[in-house]
Order: sequence, then C-alpha cells, then structure tokens
Amino acid sequence: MRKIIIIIFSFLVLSFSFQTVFSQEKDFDYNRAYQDYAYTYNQYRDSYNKYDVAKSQYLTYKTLTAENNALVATKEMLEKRSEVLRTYLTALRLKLAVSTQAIGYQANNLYLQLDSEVNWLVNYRNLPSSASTIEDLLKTSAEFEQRYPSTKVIIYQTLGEIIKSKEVKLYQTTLTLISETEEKIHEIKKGDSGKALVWERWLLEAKNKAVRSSEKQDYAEKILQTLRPGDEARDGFYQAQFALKESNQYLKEAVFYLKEIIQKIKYD
Amino acid sequence: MIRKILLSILAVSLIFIFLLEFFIFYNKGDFFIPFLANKLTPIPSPKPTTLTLEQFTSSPSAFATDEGVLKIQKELATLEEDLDNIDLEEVPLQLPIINLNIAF
Repeated sequence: MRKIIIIIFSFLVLSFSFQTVFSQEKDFDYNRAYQDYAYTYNQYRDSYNKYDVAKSQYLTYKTLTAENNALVATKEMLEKRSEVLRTYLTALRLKLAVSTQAIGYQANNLYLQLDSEVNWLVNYRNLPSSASTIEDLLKTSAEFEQRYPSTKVIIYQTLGEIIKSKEVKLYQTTLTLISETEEKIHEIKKGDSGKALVWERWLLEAKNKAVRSSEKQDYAEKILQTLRPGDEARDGFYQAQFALKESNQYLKEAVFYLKEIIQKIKYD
Repeated sequence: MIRKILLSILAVSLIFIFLLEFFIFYNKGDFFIPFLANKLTPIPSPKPTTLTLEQFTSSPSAFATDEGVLKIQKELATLEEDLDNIDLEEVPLQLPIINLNIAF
C-alpha cells in the first residue's frame, strides 16, 4: 500500500513538472525573445565600456594587473557580443514565424540558415572563456568577425522576408476584393449594362495597379535573393524595402478605385 | 496809359481764374471746361452677390443596402486602414550595433 502511494505521488510530481516545462516553452514567444535580446544588448554595451577602459589602462600602464583586467574585460565583452547576436537571431526567427505563418520555400531556407548561425554561436560562446592570453582572445574574436558579414546577409534577407510577407498578405486581400467587386458588377450588369461601363473601366485600373504592386514585390524578392556580404547587403535591403513601399502605394491606388466603384453602385 | 492797360488785363485774368476755380472745384464744371473736369468722383463698383449653392443630394440606388456591396465596402475600409498602418521599417529589429575589429 505504501509503495503504491509513493508511486502515485512520484507520478503526480513528474507530470506536474512536465506540464510546467511545457508551458514555459509555450510562453517563449517573440515578445519574450525580444526582451531577452534587449536585456543582453544592454549588458553588452556595459561590458564593452568596461573593456574599453581596461584596454586603455593596459595600453597606458602595461602592468601585469592591467593586462589581467584587460583579459577579463575582453573575455566578458566577447561572450556578451556573441550572446547579443544569438538572442537577436532567435528573436528574428520567431518574428519570421509569426509574419509568414504559411510555410514557403524561402522561409524554410531562412529558418535553416538562422538555426545554423545560432548553433555556431552556441558553440562559440565558451571559446573566449577558455583563452588565457590576449592574443588568443583576439584570434577568437577574429573568427566571429570573419563570419559576421555572411550572417548579416541572412539577417537582411530575413528582415526583407518579414516585411514582404506583410505586403503579400495585403496584396492577396486586394485581389480577393477585386474579384468580389467584379462578381458584383457582373450581377448588376445583367439588369442594366449601361452604367457598368464606367465601373468596368475603374475595375481594370484597379487590376492594373495590383499587377504593378506584384511586379514591385517580385523585384524586391529578386534583390533579397542576390544580396552579397558587405555594404551591398544593407544597400540591397534598403532597395528592396523601397520597392515594397512602392508596392504598398499601388495597392492603395487599387483600393481607391474599388471604393469609387462601390460608391457609384450605392449612389447611382 | 500802358500801366492802366496792364492793370486791367491783370484784373480780368484774376477774375477769370477765380471764376475758373469756382466752376471746377465747386461746381464740378465739366460742362464748362471738359478737359479740366474733376475726374476724381468715385464710381460705385458693382456689389458682389452671393450665390446660394444647392446641396447635391444623391439618391441611393437599389444596391445601396445590398449585403454583398456593404460587405465589400466594409472590407475595403479595413484594407485601407491596414495599408496605411503597415510597418515596412521593423525598427525594433534593426541590426544591433556590434563592435568589430577588436585589437590591442
């Protein structure tokens, strides 16, 4: 009897702890990830300031104490630097998941690349603490700095995909409304075809604007696919962003024509 | 003799000038000397008349209360708001400023 009670009690404790862990994992969403990133970023700025001071003191006095302090400060700064990037990429990945929702080839590709970068950073995290000289630390830092330009390309591509997915959703909504308006015009036209002529002209304008919007989205996609490491990545991202803003403007113009059609249908 | 003649001419001129002034400035004598007439009389300008605009009233069509039309109108309003409020900047997710080229 006693053994049965112990077994039941153990089972209850284990199941409760499982639920706690599971619910904590469910709570780790984009907002939580962004808070982690913001907190780590502040820690990194603090550690960088300390590193800067320790480095100046070491370069000025060249004592053993100053060297040790510089070593400790540099280790901490490099650890925080890699943590900043890791938490940022995690937040970015979760934002991509929220924005895209539908699984697409491009989003899948980005998930894989982001996961690869995060894994590399997790492995890199302990390297600075294992270094015993400043020269070793600088070599460790150089590994990070060599990889960072290609990481930036993935970041810009992900950011581009996030904003493009928002625009694509609105584009699809616009197409749906164009289709519904067209059906309504056909329905009204059966009764009186005369007044539908103007509406059809405006509907054609709305469709043309939607086509222009789609072209801008494709252009943005093409730019994002061909980003290269360096300043080109940032410039390319800004070009893609501008193209998506133009796409958004075309959609607004399409909506304007649709609103005019509905107004005419209601008050003609 | 000549002096008398000059004085008389002067007197006649003065009387003439006096009469001229009288007719020009006090009598508005444009009927007397047209080219010296006082043309400074204000000419009344036409007063502006306000037009009363008729309020344009459109009559609703048979489809004004159509469910399909109203649904499309509502969705268009939502879409327009979404297009105005779309965030294409993603400022919070801009790249963190990370210091590279660490050296001693």
